[in-house]
Amino acid sequence: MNGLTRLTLTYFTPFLHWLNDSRLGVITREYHYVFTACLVLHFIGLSLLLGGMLIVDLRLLGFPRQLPIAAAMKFLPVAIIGFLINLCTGVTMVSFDSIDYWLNPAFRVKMALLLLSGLNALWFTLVEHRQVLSQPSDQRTTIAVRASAGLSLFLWFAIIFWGRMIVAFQSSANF
Amino acid sequence: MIHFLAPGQGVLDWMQALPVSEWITDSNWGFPIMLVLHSWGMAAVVGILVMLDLRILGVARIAPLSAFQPMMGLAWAGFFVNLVSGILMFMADANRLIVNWAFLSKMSCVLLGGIVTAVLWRRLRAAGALAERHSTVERSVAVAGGGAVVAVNGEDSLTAAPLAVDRSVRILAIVSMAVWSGAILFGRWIAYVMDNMILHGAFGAH
Repeated sequence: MNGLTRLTLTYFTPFLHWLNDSRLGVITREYHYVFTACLVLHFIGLSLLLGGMLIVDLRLLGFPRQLPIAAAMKFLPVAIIGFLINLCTGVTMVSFDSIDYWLNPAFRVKMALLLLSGLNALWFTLVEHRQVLSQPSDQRTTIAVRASAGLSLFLWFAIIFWGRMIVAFQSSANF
Repeated sequence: MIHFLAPGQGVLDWMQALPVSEWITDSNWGFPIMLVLHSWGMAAVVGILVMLDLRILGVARIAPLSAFQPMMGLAWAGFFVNLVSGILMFMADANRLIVNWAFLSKMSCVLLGGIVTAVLWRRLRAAGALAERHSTVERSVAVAGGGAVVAVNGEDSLTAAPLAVDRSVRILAIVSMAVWSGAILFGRWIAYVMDNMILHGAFGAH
């Protein structure tokens, strides 16, 4: 266990225990179909999230040109709904065995990338969103906007990668 | 074990004995890499198709349907990735998957999803919804400012208003979303059916 892991574990242990011992955790461990249902919904949420982000981010990168930017942005709420589905189902699955998840390096990488993705989205919302909506559709987006959109796509695909790696790194046979 | 599949048995055994199948089954990373590719492909194909369905159902009304034409290339790319990774994962475990009801249900959903999407797309094309006239309109409207409906080139039918999509296409969009969700559900279920087969000795006696 490296220093950073130990440090985060020190800070997060109370929260992880709280989540693990919460009613949610008790229910998830008692009824196994809750976990199964969450996993299925996690993939449906993923489709909504990635579908929406692909349209928004690709348009900010300039593809397809005939789609007005303001129209592409209308898919953002769909992506947000997908994210909320995945937040709820994700937290429920983690409550099954919180400490075990945090000890999994793939899970920690996934969480770190999620944090980066959140910061990127926050920056975009606060700094670029308004300007992007008012700009004429046939004009190229600024390099900052394109960098943010590219980073967003990269991060979401990396998040899927590390999400899949969680099982590959699993130490216990609980799942 | 199942007689009507007996003639295909040799093919399934041959698939499973291929080096690539052995790599997927025996190496640490073969199977996880296939699953990552399958999830990436799913994000593209199901993601884009569900966005098209939602657009038909009234989400993002101002987005011209013709803009989905180039997006379909991306959906095809995702489908191709999943076809290849799916075939490879099937080959690695062919004998068990061919009798896995969750796998067979998933394949039915994927086939059905493909047919529904093809019919839906044909209907959009037939209705002229995929023609690229909207792009010029959007630009003109943007230039005119205020989003006001303006006549372009004397054609007052060209407005930024959404193209009406008829009821049957909307029903197809709902069916499409249900079928792709079904494909995801049964896809997740494959592993559980596998575990049950192992636990209850479905492969004991041939």
